[in-house]
Amino acid sequence: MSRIARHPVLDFSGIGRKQVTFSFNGKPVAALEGDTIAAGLLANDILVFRLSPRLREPRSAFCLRGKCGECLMRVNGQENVRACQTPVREGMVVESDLGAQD
Amino acid sequence: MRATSGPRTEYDLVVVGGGPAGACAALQAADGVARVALFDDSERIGGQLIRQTHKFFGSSDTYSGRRGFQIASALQEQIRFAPLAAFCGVTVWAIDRGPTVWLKHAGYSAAVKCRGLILACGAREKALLFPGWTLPGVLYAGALQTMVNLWGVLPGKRVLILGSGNVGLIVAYQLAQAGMEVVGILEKARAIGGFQVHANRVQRLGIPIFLDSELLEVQGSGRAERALVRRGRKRLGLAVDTVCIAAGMSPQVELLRCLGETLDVPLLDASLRLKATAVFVCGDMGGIEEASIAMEEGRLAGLAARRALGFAQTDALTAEISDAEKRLRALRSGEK
Repeated sequence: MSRIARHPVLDFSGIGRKQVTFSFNGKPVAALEGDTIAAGLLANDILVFRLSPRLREPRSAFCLRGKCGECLMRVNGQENVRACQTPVREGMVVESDLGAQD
Repeated sequence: MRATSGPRTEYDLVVVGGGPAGACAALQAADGVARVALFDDSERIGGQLIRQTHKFFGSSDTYSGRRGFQIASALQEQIRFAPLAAFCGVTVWAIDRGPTVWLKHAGYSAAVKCRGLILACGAREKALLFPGWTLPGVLYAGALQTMVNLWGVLPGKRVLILGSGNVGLIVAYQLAQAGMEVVGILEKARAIGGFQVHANRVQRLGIPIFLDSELLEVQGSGRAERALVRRGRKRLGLAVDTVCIAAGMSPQVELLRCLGETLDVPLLDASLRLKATAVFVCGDMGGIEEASIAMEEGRLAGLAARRALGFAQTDALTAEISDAEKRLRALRSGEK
């Protein structure tokens, strides 16, 4: 886990934040209540969000403000969900969106 | 007051964007306009201020000496108790000269008519293309700020910053605060781009600023592992797992395109009004500056919209408008 433990200005002690477990491509991921899907993945050092449809190159978060589309995922069966804008929920099923295949 | 039900189909004034400019515009306008709505597409009011940990300068009118996220909280609090309807999570996707705004709310589309419209859509980061820019670990400065200042998640251990403008300097400081090693800030020009006061702060931390330097390539398998850099005439490789793009911002002017405006920075009159329309533009959307100026521009647009809508044609309002213009001039000529 790469969460910030100590910060001179901000409090990230996480006191009172419940653990939330969701699955990413079939594997369980332990996040914290209030995390977005992207935050939960990155905090667990899961950096590769998907492979590009044509060249199969790894892609990850890029803008984290809902604009770039690099973090689109399939969430509980729904396509094109922005992982950086969507809060995690217990039992959520998250899958990489591989896009149109050649 | 924050609205609990959906937006109405008609308002006197609509403000698009709840960053420092839009929030101040809405607050100022709500003081004298009957029905004001504020729409923002993120989950809370404050724009980019919510992810800023540094203290702002400017004047006491613009919360100088307070940290960005504290200014955002103050604006949220004022909006909560102001006589206006604020909606977060609402995306405005089109406007016309009516003015009418089209928005997406709770998965549905709706048209909202208004008599006056203030646009405060902010800016977006400029992209920078280089070999390896798609590798995981290469991110925009704003994305890294989201991770370390909102989410409390560390992006990596060693980061290289591209650009020594204010964003690059500030984000370097913030990433160091969060515990990352900042190996350096690359600047293609021969002078630092941002304010000296920000440059001093990062240099005091021992973070080097490399002038006349640029990134050639990011290499790595599966993620960024190494940056190939030109420094003067030399080439060197830096071991980094994170590369931060801070190449500047450009106004987010898509909604102005709906009105046939083709410029990348809109042409406005002294009261921030778009010629021959009931549309005002304030904050970074009208040209990139910084948060205290955005707040004062927002206030000016709010006052000017009040005048344009005929809610108070008094000498007091005219005086307030010239005061707001004066404060803006003072901020712009102020010390760096």
